[in-house]
Amino acid sequence: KIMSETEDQQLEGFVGDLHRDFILKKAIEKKERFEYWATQHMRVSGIYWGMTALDTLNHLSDMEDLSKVAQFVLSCQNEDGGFGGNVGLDSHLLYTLSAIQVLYMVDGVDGINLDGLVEWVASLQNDDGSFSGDKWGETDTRFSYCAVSSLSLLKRIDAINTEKAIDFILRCQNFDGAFGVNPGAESHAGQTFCCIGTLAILDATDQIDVDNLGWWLSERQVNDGGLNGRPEKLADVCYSWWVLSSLACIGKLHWIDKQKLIDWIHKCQDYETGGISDKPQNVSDIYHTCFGITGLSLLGEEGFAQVNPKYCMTNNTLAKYGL
Amino acid sequence: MHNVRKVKTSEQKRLEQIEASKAKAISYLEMRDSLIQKITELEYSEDTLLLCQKVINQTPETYPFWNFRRDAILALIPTYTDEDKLDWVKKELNWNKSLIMVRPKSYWCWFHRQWIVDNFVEFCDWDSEIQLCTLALDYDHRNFHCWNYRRYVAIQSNVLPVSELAFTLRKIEQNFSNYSAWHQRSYLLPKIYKEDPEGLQTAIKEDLDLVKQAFYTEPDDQSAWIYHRWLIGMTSGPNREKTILSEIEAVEELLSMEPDSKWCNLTVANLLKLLKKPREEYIHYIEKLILIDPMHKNYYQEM
Repeated sequence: KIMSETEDQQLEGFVGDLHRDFILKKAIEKKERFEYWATQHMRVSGIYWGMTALDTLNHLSDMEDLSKVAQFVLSCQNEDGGFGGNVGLDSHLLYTLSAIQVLYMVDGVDGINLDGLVEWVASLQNDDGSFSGDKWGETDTRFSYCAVSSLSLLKRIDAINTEKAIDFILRCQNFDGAFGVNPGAESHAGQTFCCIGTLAILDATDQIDVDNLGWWLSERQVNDGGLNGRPEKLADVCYSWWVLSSLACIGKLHWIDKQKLIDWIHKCQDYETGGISDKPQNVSDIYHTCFGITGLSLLGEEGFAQVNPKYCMTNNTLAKYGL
Repeated sequence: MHNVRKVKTSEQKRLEQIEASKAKAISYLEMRDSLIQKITELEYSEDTLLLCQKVINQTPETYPFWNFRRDAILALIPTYTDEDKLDWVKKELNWNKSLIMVRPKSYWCWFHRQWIVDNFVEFCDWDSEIQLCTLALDYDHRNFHCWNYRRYVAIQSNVLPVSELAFTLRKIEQNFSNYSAWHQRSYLLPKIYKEDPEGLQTAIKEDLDLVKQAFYTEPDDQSAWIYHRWLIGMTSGPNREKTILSEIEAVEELLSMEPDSKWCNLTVANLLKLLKKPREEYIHYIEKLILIDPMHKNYYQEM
């Protein structure tokens, strides 16, 4: 445990057990509440965030009935081969990736209609190498990452045109060395992770100027030690993942002050209810809990399972299927 | 969730909030279940579109309802007369705009707008689309969804890049700390001067003056400095070394007034490096940087 004091609050270090309890509580569905229905469409991603956090804390076994989770997620695969965010919901790349990642953790990969999925993902690649999120045609570098990561996890990356996929990513690089949503879009740490993750999975990070990019990423660390997503914006815990994993993929993790970031993430914990929030003293949620914890793992905090920066999954879990 | 402060509530208040959430769920589910029934029966009617609108207003991130809406639109609207189509597109874009005003960062909202404009292009008014972007950027000059949509509209409607360049200048004059506007300039200049490398160099020189105004006014704001770095990188031709030396002079002058300015120190060090000066000539800037910005010392040590 790391102990230190601030003016506001006496830190109690990292309260992993509280977070574990927070996550397990969140797994209980409260269908009578409106908030449940406002997020119902992305349940599969919620499961991914919660389980990845538990997995990184080496507490995956605390979850009951993983086979039930497998069953649920598999039932989100549609006839067109893609996965929706919940049962009966339209296929989308965002939820397809989350589904595969969860199935890895619950040993459910063999239940996937593999050919159907691969065909569906491949059909979403456009002529310019980009990917649409679904049949409606929105393109975004997030979807390039979802497609490439999905197929890589299923060892079917050959189903897409990887050269063109790389070309498209490179066209999204901006004047500052970082990447945006589409060609011409402003650099953003989240989109940058998607682009760097894609390049890293496809073994193509040598095609960019990593010094320039690494510097822009390191400049996301602001005075209080946290990381922001773009210049002149406030720090947010989720950028602890998007920025850190990008830095890790290009070998520049040491360009930020690790201890200051660790201390800042610790301050974003809720010492009463557990969970981690986007900023100190805000309401905690599963999403920020996941990325705060995976960020701390990348920073080398003791007692955490190692997380792979390309996939945002633990190496233990990836090893299950030989990755 | 972002930016939701944790507020201490009494037990009574907490229970009241839970009851309110339950009531909201009940009324939401009534609408939602009714909509799902119509989806199952493939009922594409104006009534369904209205119901769909109400449901989306409550949960705008529930993407399957946007998908259903588009299915319904494709089934219904093409059967209308041109006059009715025009009327309908106006209403749809107005409703979409009202949603954007409350959820300005929703990917689904902005995409739907683009989809409507793509599919009903003869019935859209490009000017009002640009105006919407101008309005939204007045609220939040860093909204990248809006900048992306504006770029799309500009391309589709053949807005002259120089006109968009003028817009970025207005934004920068409103607020030098507008990274999004500087970024947009970096996107537009190469486009405008694609066939005119000399023109590009002139434009770069002009922007070097503009950016100097910015960092002299606000030396701590990184937007101008990062853009400055790009401008220098783009500088070429016989006057390149002269330009860089004059930039060093200008930044040194500011540095003399702001000796602890990270950006001044970093910029001078970078410029000297660019001129391939030996490390001894810029090492003291690096040492200064390590003192004033210790979080990044590993980067500075590797410079």
